[in-house]
This record gives sequence, C-alpha cells and structure tokens, in this order.
Amino acid sequence: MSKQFQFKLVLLGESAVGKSSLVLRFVKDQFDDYRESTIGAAFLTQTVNLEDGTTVKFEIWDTAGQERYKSLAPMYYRNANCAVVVYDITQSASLEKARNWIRELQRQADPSIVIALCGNKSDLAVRRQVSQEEAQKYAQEEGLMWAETSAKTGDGVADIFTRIAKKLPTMAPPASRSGPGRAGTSAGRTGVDLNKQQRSITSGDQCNC
Amino acid sequence: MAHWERDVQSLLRPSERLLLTLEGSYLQHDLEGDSETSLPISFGDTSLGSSSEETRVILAIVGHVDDAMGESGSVFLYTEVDAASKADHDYPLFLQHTFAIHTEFFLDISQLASPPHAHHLLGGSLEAMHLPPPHDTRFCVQLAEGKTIYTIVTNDMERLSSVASACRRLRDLASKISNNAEFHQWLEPYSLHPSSWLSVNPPRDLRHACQPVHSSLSLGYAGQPVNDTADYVVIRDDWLWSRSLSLATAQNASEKTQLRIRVGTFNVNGKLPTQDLSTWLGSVPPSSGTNHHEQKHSIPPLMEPSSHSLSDKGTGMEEGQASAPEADMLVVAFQEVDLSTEAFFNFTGSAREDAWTVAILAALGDKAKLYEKLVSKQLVGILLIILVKRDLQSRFTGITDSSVGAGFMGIMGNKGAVAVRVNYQPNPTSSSPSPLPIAFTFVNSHLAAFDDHIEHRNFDFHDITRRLEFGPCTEYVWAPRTKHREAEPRKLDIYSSDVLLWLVNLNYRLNLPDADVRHLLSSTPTSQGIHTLLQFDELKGCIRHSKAFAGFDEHSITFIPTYRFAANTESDAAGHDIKRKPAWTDRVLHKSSPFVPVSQRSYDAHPWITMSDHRPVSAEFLVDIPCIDSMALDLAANGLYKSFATFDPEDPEDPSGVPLLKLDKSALEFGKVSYSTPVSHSLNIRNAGKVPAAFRFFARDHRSLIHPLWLKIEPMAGFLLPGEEKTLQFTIFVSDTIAAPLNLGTQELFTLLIVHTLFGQDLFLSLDGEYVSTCFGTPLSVLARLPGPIRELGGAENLLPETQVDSSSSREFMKLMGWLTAHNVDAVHDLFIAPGDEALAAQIRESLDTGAELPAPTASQTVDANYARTVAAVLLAFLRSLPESVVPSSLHQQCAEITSRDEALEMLSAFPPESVNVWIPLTAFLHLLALRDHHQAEAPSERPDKRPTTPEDAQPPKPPSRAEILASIFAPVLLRDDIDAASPVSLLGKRQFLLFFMRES
Repeated sequence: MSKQFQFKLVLLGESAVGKSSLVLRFVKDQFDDYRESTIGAAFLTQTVNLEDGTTVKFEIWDTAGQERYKSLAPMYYRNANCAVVVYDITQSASLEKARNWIRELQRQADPSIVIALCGNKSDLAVRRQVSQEEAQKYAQEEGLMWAETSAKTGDGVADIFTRIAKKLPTMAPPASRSGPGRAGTSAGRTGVDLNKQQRSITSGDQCNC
Repeated sequence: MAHWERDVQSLLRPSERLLLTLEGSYLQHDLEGDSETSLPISFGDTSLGSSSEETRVILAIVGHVDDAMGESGSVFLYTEVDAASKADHDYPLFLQHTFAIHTEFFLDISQLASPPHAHHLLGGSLEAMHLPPPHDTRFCVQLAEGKTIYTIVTNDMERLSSVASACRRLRDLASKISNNAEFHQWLEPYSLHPSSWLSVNPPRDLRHACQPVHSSLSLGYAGQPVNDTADYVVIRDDWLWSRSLSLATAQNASEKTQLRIRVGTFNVNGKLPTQDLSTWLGSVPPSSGTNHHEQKHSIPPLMEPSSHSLSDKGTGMEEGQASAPEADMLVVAFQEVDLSTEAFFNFTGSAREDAWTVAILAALGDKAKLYEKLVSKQLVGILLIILVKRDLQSRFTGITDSSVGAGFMGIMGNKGAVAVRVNYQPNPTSSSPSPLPIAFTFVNSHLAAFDDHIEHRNFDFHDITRRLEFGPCTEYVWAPRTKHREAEPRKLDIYSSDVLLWLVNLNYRLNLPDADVRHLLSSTPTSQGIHTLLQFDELKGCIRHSKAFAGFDEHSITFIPTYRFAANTESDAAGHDIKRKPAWTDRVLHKSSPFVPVSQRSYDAHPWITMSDHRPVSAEFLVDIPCIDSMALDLAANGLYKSFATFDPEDPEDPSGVPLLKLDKSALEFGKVSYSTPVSHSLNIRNAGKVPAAFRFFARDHRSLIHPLWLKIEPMAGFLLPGEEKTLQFTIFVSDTIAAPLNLGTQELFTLLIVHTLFGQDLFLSLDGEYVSTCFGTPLSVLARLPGPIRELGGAENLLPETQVDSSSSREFMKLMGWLTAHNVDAVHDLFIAPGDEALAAQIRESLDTGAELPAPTASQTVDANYARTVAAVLLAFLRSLPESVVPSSLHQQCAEITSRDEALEMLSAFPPESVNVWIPLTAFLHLLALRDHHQAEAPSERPDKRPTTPEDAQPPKPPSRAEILASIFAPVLLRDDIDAASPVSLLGKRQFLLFFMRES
C-alpha cells in the first residue's frame, strides 16, 4: 500500500503579492482578476500524488498579509511543517518583507520547517524589479527552496508544491512537534505517515503545557 | 397528488420515510358508535366524488428503518383540515390514526357497488386478494384496530394495488420479528396525540438553556480548532431550539396564562404541628411586616385538626381582611419531620405526613376545599407535599418522584433530598390545540450540618443533582433528528425542566465572627445589617463562584436569619440562640428556562411560628406559561432541520461548498472612551456561502483571553443559514479593577479579535478606542508620582521616580479634601450619605483629571449643601475606585485587633506613606463631623449586657451616633472587605479601629 502523509502549510508574505491567488490556483486551478484582500486566515486542503505512489495532503493556512495583522501570524505558522513565503517580482520591497518573514520563521517556527521562497506574478516580467539571480542567491544562502510562479497563468504553481511534497516526507521526523490538525477530518496526524495511525498530539506533545 | 406527499412528508420525523399515499374519502367511521369526533362522513355512494363538502382522507404508508430491527411500516390515516380552520393551522392535515403493520394487521378491500362487507377479505388473506373487475371504479378500503374501524372510498385503483402489495411486504417483514412492541416503538410519538404527533423532546437541560452557547464549546485557538464537529453541533442545536421556540411562540404571544405557586420550607426539628400555619402558606396576608409586637397577639391558635370539617373552619383572622390571591399550586417542604432512630432504618408510616397535611389544610381554612393533594414524597425526615387547585388537577400529568440519601455513609436518609417532577398542560386554544407541556421540578433538600463543612455541603449538592433521577419517562421518546442519534427512552434529571424550584435547608452559614453577625442584626436599620451580612453568606459565595447551585436565582432577603431560635436557652436581642451563630439556613432558589419567565413576588420568614428552632420561610412565584403549540413547534423544528440537514458536520467536505462568513467591517473605531462609561458599536456577520455556517470567537493561544477584560461581545457564537445576517455588539467598559494600566498608558484600547468559521476560515477584526485617562481606578502610590494632571502624563515613563516624590500624596485627593475642610460643611447632616448631583459630579471628576479648578459653586458666597454633598460623594467614589484598599489588606487583621487609641496611632507607622497621607486628613475631617452630632451624647460602644430571652423583651435599638454611621460607611472603603476570604476580618474590628481616630481621646 502506498504511503500517505499530511502536512500543515502556511502562506506568508506582504499584502497583495498573490498568496490567496496562488492557493486558489493550486487547490481549484482557478484565477480571479479581482480578489478581495484577505482579512483573516483561510483554510484549504489539497492532495498531491507523487510518482512513487505517495500521497501528500496539504492543510493550507492562507494568512492575511497586512501589517496590522502581523501579530497573529505566529498562531498560524506554529506547528507548520512547511511555509511558502511569497513576494511579488514587480515589487522589490516585497522581497524585503519576505526576508523578514523568513528570519522570523527561522527564529520562531519549528526548527524542521521547510521554507519555500516564491516569486509570484512571473507573467508580469516586463515590470520586473527583483531579478531571478538575486532571489536565487538569497535562497541558496539560506537553504530555501525557490521558484517563480504565476498564479494567473498557473506557471510553476503545481511544480513548487510538488517539490515541497517530495521534500517533506524525508524531512519530517516521526516524532515531529506537530500540533492538532484539522478537527473532524484528520485531527492529530499532521506530518506523519497515515498508514501507521500515529497520533502525535495525544502521545507526545501534551506534556509541554 | 404530489402536494399531498409533500404535506405528509412535512408531518413526519426525519427518521421516517413516506413510501406511498392514497387519496380517498370516508365512507363510514367508527362502526362501534364511539363517535367522539365530528368528522363529516359520507354515507352511501350518492354524494361520493360530487360534494365539495366531503372530507378528504389521505392514507399513507410510512416506513422506518432501524439499524438493529430492520425495516418496519405503518399505515397513517390523515384527514384534510377544512378550509375554514386552515387559517388557524400551519399544517394541512390531521393525523387520524396510525396502524402498525404487524402480523395481525387488517386491511380489507372491496368493491363499492356491493355492501361494504359482502366481499370482505380478512387481513390474513391478503396474499389471496384479487381486484374486482374494473366496471365500477370505486373501492372500499377498511382498516381496523380493536373496535375502531375506518372505511375509505377511493377510485385510484392503481395506487390501491400498490398499497396492498406494500402492506403485504411490510407484514412479511414483521412476521420475522418476535418482539412487535419494540419493532413499532417509533410509532409511539405519533400515537400520543390523536391529531398529530406531540413534541416528545423533554425540556432542554436548564444549565444549557440559561447559559450563552459559547460557554459549552471546546477550547480552541487561532489556527488550531480542537473539535469543530462537536462545537458545530452544539451551536446549531442551540440555534434550532431557540429559533423553533420563537417561531412557535410568536403567533400566540397574547395567549399567555399565569400560574401562581406558593412555596414554603420549614425545618420542624421533629415537632408535630402545634401552631397555625396560615400566614406561612399565604392563605391570610401577613399583617404589617416586621412589627412583631402587634402581630404576636393576632396569631390564632392552631385549630383542632379534623379532616371531617376542614372546610368549615375559619382562619381566626378578623372579618373583612383582604384575602391574598390564591395560589394555584402549594409546594410545602419540611425537614426533620421525624428525628426518631427508627425512622433512619425503616419507614415509620405516614402518621407525621398526615399530621402536617392536616395542619396545611387547617391553615387553608375555607379555601382547603379548593385544593387537592397532588403528590407527596418523604425520605426519613424530608417531606415534600404538593397541593393544587382542584379545577387544575387534571392539567398536572406525568408526576414522578425521586429521592436520594446523603447522610451516614453517603446513602442514609437523615440528610439528602426528595424531588417531584410534574408536567403542567396548558389549556388548549384555537391557535394552540396541543400546547406544549411545561415541566416543573421541585427539590427539597437537607444538607450536612456543622460550620466547617462547606466542601461537604458542595459535594452533597453535586452528588444529589447527579443522583436525583426520574424515569425512564414514557412520556418522552428521544426524537431522532439526525442519523447519529438513536431513539431511546429517557431518564431525566432535575435539569430536564422548564422551571426548577429548590427548597432548601442548607446549613450554609455566615462567614463572619459571631459578634459581627449579632451586632449587624441588632443595628438600625436592620435592612442595612442584613445587606452587609448577606455578602458573607456561604451559599451566595458558592453561587458566585459556581461551586454549588451555579446559575440559580434567589430573591433578595429582607428577613433576619431563620436559625437558630431555641425555647429554653439564652438568646440575643434578635431572639437568636447565643450559642449558635445565626444563619439563613432556609432558602428558596429557582432557575427557569428563558421562555418560561418566572417572577418572584414575595420572600418572607415567619417569625411568629415558633414551634421549631428554625423559622419557616415562604416564597410566591408567578410563572408565565407560554402558549406554544407542540405541533407548531415540531413543524418549525422540522422545517429548520431541513434547512441545515444537507451539511453533515461529521463529513464537512460538502460538495456544495465550504462555510463562508463575511463581516461587513474589518475594523471598529470607538473614538473616545471614558472610564466607567460603556460605549457600544456593532457590525454584521453574514453567511455568504452556500452551506449553513457556525461561528465563534477564538483566543490566540492557551495563554490568551478571547477578548480583553474591557470588552464584551454579544453574541460570542452563532449559526447562520446561507444569506442570513446577524448583528454582533461590541461594548467597551473600563471598570475600577482594570482601569489602572489604561490610565497610565501601559495598555491601550486596541485588540485584534479572531472570528472562527467552523470548518472554514478565521476572520480578523481590529478594534480601536482612544482612552481618556482618569485618576479613578489608579493606585494611590502611582497618583503620588504624577508630575501633573493625569491627562497630561503621556505614558508611565513620565512618572516621577519614587526618590523624587516629596509629599507622597495624591493631588486629586488633596484637592477634594482641601475643599471640604475649607468650607463649613459639617452642618450638612447627610454628607457622604446623600448621592449629590450627577452632572456636577462629572464636572468635578473632569477637573481632577485635567488639573482645572473645581467648578464654581452655583451661589456666589454661601456654600450650597448640594455642592458639598457632591464633593463628598466624589471623594467617596474616588476612594472606592482605588484598585487597592487605602489600608493594605495585609494589615487589616492587625488593625481589627487593636484595642486602644494609642495602639491605633502606632499602627499608622506600618502604613505606606501615601496611605497615611489619606488617612490622617480624612479621619481628622470625619472627627470634626462626628463632633457636630448634636442629637446624641456620645453613646457607649457596647450596649448593656442585657439578654432578653423572648422577642417582646427586645428593646428597639438606640439610633447610632454620627461617628458610628460614618465609621460604617468608611471602614469598608478604607479597609476594604474581602467577601471571598476564608475567614474574613471582623467588620466590627475595622469600624472600631477607624473610630479610635474619630472620637475624642
């Protein structure tokens, strides 16, 4: 029987870089030209089937990018197995914001977290302010995955999530510090092999409090 | 035909399935002549199919699938509600009868042309049935159960043959089952009522019905919902309850009736009745309140109890006295009815119950004949007797009782409780033909004695509530509303009621020194002493902290403690036994569902019924009986159920979409917010998705609160159907206890709230207010370090360092104090007593905060007494608002023990400097006021050691001096009382300490 995994993924990045559009493309393969700004944290799930038969289910928290909600972000990236930090290739300031998020994750998130840096809006390359070289160099220095995507055309979207999915199972230690997953659907099985029916919250984590 | 199917379906529970319908009309009804119904009946064939007056009949085959028993079926016979009465009903059909399809099921089909019985085929020969040739298209169908026979005429041959084959199939299924009764248990709710099925849900658990729904939800945090499935069901079902109740109530709002209930509780200390009980039972109105001396002699002797001539006896009261409104229900609770050793071990018969019943009837006098004993229940010494008006007796149904012992070994009946549960069936009306019964539960309990056993008493309470059980109650069958709940007979607890009255002999005591209790009870006015004492009442403390009787209401107490009065021992001025600290041991508590409002009209003790060491207590309640039609309620609930049934919280990944809620604002700006002044704003939450959605507020993590203490949100959880909208109200209120950090600017009125959509996204809401700082609610030690007015502080970092503070006094306090000492205000006799002028007080407070001059007095030269009162009131309010008592609480015990003026002065050296700087000027001023006490020479602090043994020896206490009055006002302000302390500091001691500074040496 093939392996099944479940991971918590959080999207971070400045407001209006296209986090929600990226998720919408990944989960529903859709795109809206005009999307309302996210004021909150949306929850979605999507499953990726790998070539070796492994299936990876992502529980995705798409968070608000506005500065005023920054203090709430830790509530959503705690216990995350992976983070996609998004910037807009047409806004160099958004890469700065992405660097801040990455620093915060490295300092405060789970040490085993897989971080992907994602330059969105590659369809607007004519207005590019962030060069591929610059972003790639930074990603290499920090040991991050990197890709450019276009939520509008779909370019690179599935690819980056698949790369994360491939990387995760080998990374996630069996007793990873994972919090409760989605209630009613998959409580307590974040980041573990579902075939083994391990329940990481009930077994290991409760003594922390 | 299709619309009949819809109508029938709407009358079925979700657990039942409509298989087939057949339309027809009555040929003949009820051959045995039991014609209690007045249905239009068609005789013969002449009018068939031609008259528009005929009553249409719908025969429906209804199936039910049970996991264990498999499929079973029934024939439901409905009649059409005629056009005239249709307006009064929400439902189009009456259920006339249900016929379970079991092995003896009888269905007879014959051709109409012949007499109905000529070709009859017994049920047993259904298989052999063949349809007559089609030259006459009308057929008779006969159904019988017992002596009732229904004959229906139809011309729908095709459906008739389907009906026959469906019946055959279901009967075959039934023949494979041995236990027919259980097989058709699902029919029970339908057969309870001839015209429809009754609501068979017992009342909702009172603990949940009285609490906001969010308090029943799981703990969950941002990004980490713990149990959305369970929470969703809780929120949804709460919505279902209240929505269907309000839908079913609205149309009948004007038809409310009232039920007057008189309750009494009396610990009789093993005595038999020797005195008249009529004032206690309310059959004569109590004469002028607490004036014992007059009332004493108007109490009639107990009449010779004689069951033969009870109704002939008068009450012994003077003629012409206005009669009290008669109670519809009398609930009388006794404790310690039997103290004999034998009573503990085996029941000693009903002699004592009979004696008390006779005494009750004697007390009712003429009115006794109006009442009938409904039920009584005894457990050793605990006895509960319920009488109701004779003409209402038939309305009380489903009477059940229960009892538990909590005495020796936790089971013996010397302590414990008895309980009775009854349903009151309101009068049917045109718009409410089957009114919802209202469930009443009455508990009479006697809990553990001894002063140090409060934990034991709390344990007993929880033990008793858990163990008091009624049933299984056959009146209620759990109506399966979802596939996850199975039908089962119910055992009910005391909270499965609409109204719960708890009559208690609690033995909860007063948590104050004995001398304090007696002093407060003998001081004038007594009401003030009672008020102070009740703050230290153990029972009230337990309710406040939800340790026992959580959520129960009690009317305010205006009578003195009802325990202990002993005949042959010394007693204090109020008549209480000097060996036993007085206490309110006899109480009446209640709790009721929001849709059955209960108002308490009286709560009294009866000091002149002196046969026991307790005094009896009575209470009168008016219960608004809502007129809710159970059919309408169920239709409403069913309709609502269908509106959300498509979304299954067990499997939330619904193909029609995810729950989606939207707020119409993402930020709320409150503008300026002042201390102690509530400001409210609201926004709307809307279901913008395609599936029903529930929401609740989340805290950030386990260390955080859902919202700051200065904020209130209403409601904190809710349920919305697609397209629906709800208003959320947000109120900022900065109280004394939380003002300090806001006043200093170390905290701001800003927060981010998280609205969690169950199975969906979290919505963020920012909330912002501009706080107007004030000296109120700020510690004295901080006020002493202010460089200027608090409004100009601009942050805690601008406070002066402690080393730079020279005077250590609050500028604001000195401003008020200075004004009072500079003006001749001592002649204002009600200074610190009268409230003053509210608008002026607001101006004065403002001047303290801004550093402006106090507003000018209205009259130019003379000081207005009202102005003085207002300044004094602001000063008192300022001292009350301080987050810490002027005298630190760690010193209270020491202060209270001081016995001389010199010691008291020495004590000041232990006070922090900012406290001394309040204490000295204030007590000096109070001393001046006390000197102006012209009306009374300095009274000795202790009254002469006189020990009246009977109430008539008690002298009216001397009016207190001005010093004593001021001490009683300021002691609890300067040395604040801790009502929750394990052993509170003596109130008298604190007053005495203050008086050392106010009196001449």
